[in-house]
Amino acid sequence: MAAVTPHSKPGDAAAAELPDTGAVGAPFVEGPCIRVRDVSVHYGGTPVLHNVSLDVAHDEALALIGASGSGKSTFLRCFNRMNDTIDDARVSGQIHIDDDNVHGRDMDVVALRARVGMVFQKPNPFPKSIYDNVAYGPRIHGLAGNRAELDDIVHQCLDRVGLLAEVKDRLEASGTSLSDGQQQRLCIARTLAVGPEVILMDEPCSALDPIATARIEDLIDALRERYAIVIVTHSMQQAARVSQRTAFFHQGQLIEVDETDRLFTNPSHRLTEDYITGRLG
Amino acid sequence: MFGLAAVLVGMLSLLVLFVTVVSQGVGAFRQTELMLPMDVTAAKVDPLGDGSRESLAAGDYDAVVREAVQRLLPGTTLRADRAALIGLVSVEAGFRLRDRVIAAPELVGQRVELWVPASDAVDLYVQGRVGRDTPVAARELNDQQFYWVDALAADARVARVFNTALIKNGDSRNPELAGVRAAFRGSLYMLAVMLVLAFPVGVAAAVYLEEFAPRNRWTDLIEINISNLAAVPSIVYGLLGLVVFINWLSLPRSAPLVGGLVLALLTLPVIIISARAAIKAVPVTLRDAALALGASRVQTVFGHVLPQALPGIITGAVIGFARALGETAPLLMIGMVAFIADIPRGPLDPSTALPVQVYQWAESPDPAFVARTAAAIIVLLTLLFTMNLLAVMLRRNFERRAG
Repeated sequence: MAAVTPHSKPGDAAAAELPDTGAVGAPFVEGPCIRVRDVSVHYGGTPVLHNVSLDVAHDEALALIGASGSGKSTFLRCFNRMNDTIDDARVSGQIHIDDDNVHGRDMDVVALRARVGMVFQKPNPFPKSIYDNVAYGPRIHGLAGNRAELDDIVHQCLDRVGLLAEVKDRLEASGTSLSDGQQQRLCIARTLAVGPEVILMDEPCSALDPIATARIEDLIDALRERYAIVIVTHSMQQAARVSQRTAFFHQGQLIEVDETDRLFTNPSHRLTEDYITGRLG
Repeated sequence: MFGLAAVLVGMLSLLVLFVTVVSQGVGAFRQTELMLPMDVTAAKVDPLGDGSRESLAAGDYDAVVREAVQRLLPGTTLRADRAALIGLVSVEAGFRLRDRVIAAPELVGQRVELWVPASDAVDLYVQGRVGRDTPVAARELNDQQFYWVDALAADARVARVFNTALIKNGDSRNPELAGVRAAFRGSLYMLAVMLVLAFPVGVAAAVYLEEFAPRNRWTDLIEINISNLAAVPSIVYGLLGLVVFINWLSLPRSAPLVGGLVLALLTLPVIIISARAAIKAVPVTLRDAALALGASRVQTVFGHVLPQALPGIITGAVIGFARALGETAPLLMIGMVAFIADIPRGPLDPSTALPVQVYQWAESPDPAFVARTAAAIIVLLTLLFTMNLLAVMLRRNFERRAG
């Protein structure tokens, strides 16, 4: 399916019978939730991501690591087509979520983004009440028939992120009045409320203190049972703690994908080793 | 250091401006009145003799007023003296007496003590702005008249009361009767027209250009032209209004509707530019949040971006409106610089505007108009400050709701 590009020369041929990805390790899994094949992204004329191919399994957390500018955030934004909002971004290749082509002509972006939720680097609750923050998604997608159903969804989602006990007496308070960690959990609850299959997280803890970070990491671990999670992180400890598999990006190329334990203890590629030992990046 | 000095100089000039305007204008908010004992005889005020409304309306009330003054200041038999005597009282006195009698016909045949406005010359004397040491060429009253006023004052028949004419009347050749109401109404109508036209059109244009328009040569051209329009001298807009609205569309001259249209065009670029800046200032993370939840572009813009940008948009628009309300030049071209004595009843009636009224009174040679010019400036500034205050309050309100 994918042609070998001169940029992406694997160290050795680890995945011989599977499509040639250019990446070493184990990029593909049985019965994946998301199949990424040969995805490249250009901003204007500048290529920022070269021919990336990998799978994301159901009920796993895949960590994307790499230095700043390595293309991992750009890659993440391909899954829910957030790159559409950037005027001169051009995405080629194919991403399938449960056999639906993300970039297909018949793909409705609104429906796609309900299936693929996203949590951002900086907590960005709407300047509305806590209740309205969570209720916004179900409202625009018409997921609740009446107020009672909506109340149920809001309470459930707040409960799942462990926020309900903290805010249940002040659901009408502004979402921005919460602490940073609470705001980020509110954003996750807001994402859960539209009933996604996949949750994308773009450095969700980079603006948080260690305690709030630990809570989010626990949450990710719990959510993994029901959602495929792709998380971009700058912290290798975090990748090691929350993910089952890890993908390493370097200068717009996917270098290595493997079980998280193996990638951190026994990387196959020189660049991966250099990065995780701090000699690179 | 220099910055601080510049700020101080600015504050000082502002202070000087306010002090001059207020000290000059505050006198015009009070008007001298004289209490005259009027003999309302049926022979004078009821020519038909039937006491009907029509008959009372046709009465010769000026004669009653003349008589009253002469009674108060006896011993003036010379013709010239009589003329000087009646010069103390405003022409309004007869009208006020008439209104009083028509409202209460039982007064016919009685003596009524009535406060009536003094002439503007008396007003200036009572204020102390002219006196016996004023050169004769620069004053309307002679020493004899000063003496009469003093005599009336000694009799507690002179008082300064709130000048309702300034608030209730349109323009007049008689300073003591001239008011800013026609101009104020005209300005309000123009503000309403601007609010209805320039605000929605400007915001819609800004939203389109900022959020939906493709980036190409056409939109670049439009952007450059909006910036250019903001720099076009205001009198050119007046010329445009004359040609388009009055000559082509045959809208009435001197109408606040046309004035409002012209001022709307004038403020449109300002509103568009400030609204675009406000929209641009909305953090991209907010857009991302809405889009990532599956909100469409339209839902994102109208549900999140616009409410967040609204305080900034309103501030920009109010500044634009306030500037437009202070414009005189474009109104010159569409006939709104006119003597308007009647209060306009709608946006199509002939009208004028507050800054125009200031200009017209400032041109008047009558010294009593000096204070009235300053008073009109005070009214104009009060209107503009009120608008700005309203904008600040609206902004606070929106910001609090937006958290």
